[in-house]
Amino acid sequence: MTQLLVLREHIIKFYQRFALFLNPLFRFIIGFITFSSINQMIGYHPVLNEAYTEVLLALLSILMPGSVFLFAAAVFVVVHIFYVSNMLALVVSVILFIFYFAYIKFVPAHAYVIAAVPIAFSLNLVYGIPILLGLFMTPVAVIPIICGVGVYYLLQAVTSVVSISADTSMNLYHALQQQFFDCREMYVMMFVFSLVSVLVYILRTREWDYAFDIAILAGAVCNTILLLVIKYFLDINVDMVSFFAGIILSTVLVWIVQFMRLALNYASVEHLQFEDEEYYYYVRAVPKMNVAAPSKRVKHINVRHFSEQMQGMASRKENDKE
Amino acid sequence: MVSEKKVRLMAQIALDETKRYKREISEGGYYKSDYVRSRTVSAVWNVTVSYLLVLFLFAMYHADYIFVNVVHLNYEMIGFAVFGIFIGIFVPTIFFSFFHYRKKYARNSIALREYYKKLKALDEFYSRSREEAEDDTVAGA
Repeated sequence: MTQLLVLREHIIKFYQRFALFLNPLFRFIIGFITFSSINQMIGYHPVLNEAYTEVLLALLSILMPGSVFLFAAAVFVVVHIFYVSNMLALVVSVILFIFYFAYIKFVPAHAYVIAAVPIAFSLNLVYGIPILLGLFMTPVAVIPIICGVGVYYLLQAVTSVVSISADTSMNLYHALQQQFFDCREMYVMMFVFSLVSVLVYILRTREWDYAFDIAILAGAVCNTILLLVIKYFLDINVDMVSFFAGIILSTVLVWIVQFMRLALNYASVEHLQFEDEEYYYYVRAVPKMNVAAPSKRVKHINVRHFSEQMQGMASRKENDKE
Repeated sequence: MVSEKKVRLMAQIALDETKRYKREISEGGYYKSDYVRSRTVSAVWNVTVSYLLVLFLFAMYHADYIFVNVVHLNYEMIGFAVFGIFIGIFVPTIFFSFFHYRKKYARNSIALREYYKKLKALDEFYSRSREEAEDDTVAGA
């Protein structure tokens, strides 16, 4: 554990030292992952579905503020769909506008969660999102999770409608709506993720030792059991290897994020009691784990200088003898 | 000479202005009633636009039926339904926005109070250094 804490301190120090370069790098990576995930999901436009376009847009996203970046990602999605069907592009853009006016205008920060869910789906890391939001947010996180899952399955419905129908008329819209609302997997995901998020929130707010770790583990177990059981009863196919790999990887990533954010030392918990005019307080104080990162100083011994000194001393001795 | 306390205060103020209380400061220029009213109008506008877009999607989905039966449609009933649903959304939006933004204004005021306290402390620093500069005995001239 001490080694991990030392590593954490080193990482934090490294980030603080090179934040000027690391922040644009992170923005580039996030931009690249976003645009390549969209291409992976609905890469219809031949020019946009190229590696150099992804790199170019990711480079541009370094300069964009967060809201502009999200707008660019939404436009990217609509342009891809527009290439195969004007009608579907219109429908998807209207739905995105509804999201914007009815929800994101009121809670702009939730737009990032809504965008992160489809991207995490394409990276097979989506199982970590409800656990992460349960750790960092309140149960309100259920709303952006549901919206994000909805957006992902909307894009899935678009791909399946485009793949089975060459029609360009209004029938595509009917097919899209039918495909979207008939998707049982979407309802399962929405239900399970909402439940996991609330469960993690409830557990991490308990006054237990290792409440955060217990919450992460319980979230992962709950995710696994509920998804497997419900999908089994609804007869939905599950790729076991990919499913378990996704669960394990996302849980580990969430634990790393939590560890980097906060590490508590439950071995040194202190219980305090005091009072003021109105209340009597029972306080449980858990100290944060902090270790000073050892700074290694390498002492360079200048060999030439040393030998010159030795020679100088020898000649001085000879002179003294003379 | 550089005063460490002053530099720390200035850094905190800069952080407040660019990160911590950026939104609160930009919204802090309003009177309470103006702030709540403008936010409520904005919320109603957003909800209205969303509702119209939903209606557009709904109409598009039933476009075939609408075009075929355009003469036989019961416009009175449709009008009542559309308007009734709109009122059903409009009234809760106004109530919710009104109370939400009143609460938010109070929260912003607390944050701004802290920010203004720092500004006042910085101002005191400047006035003290001005006084010291004017006072010959302190300057040692």
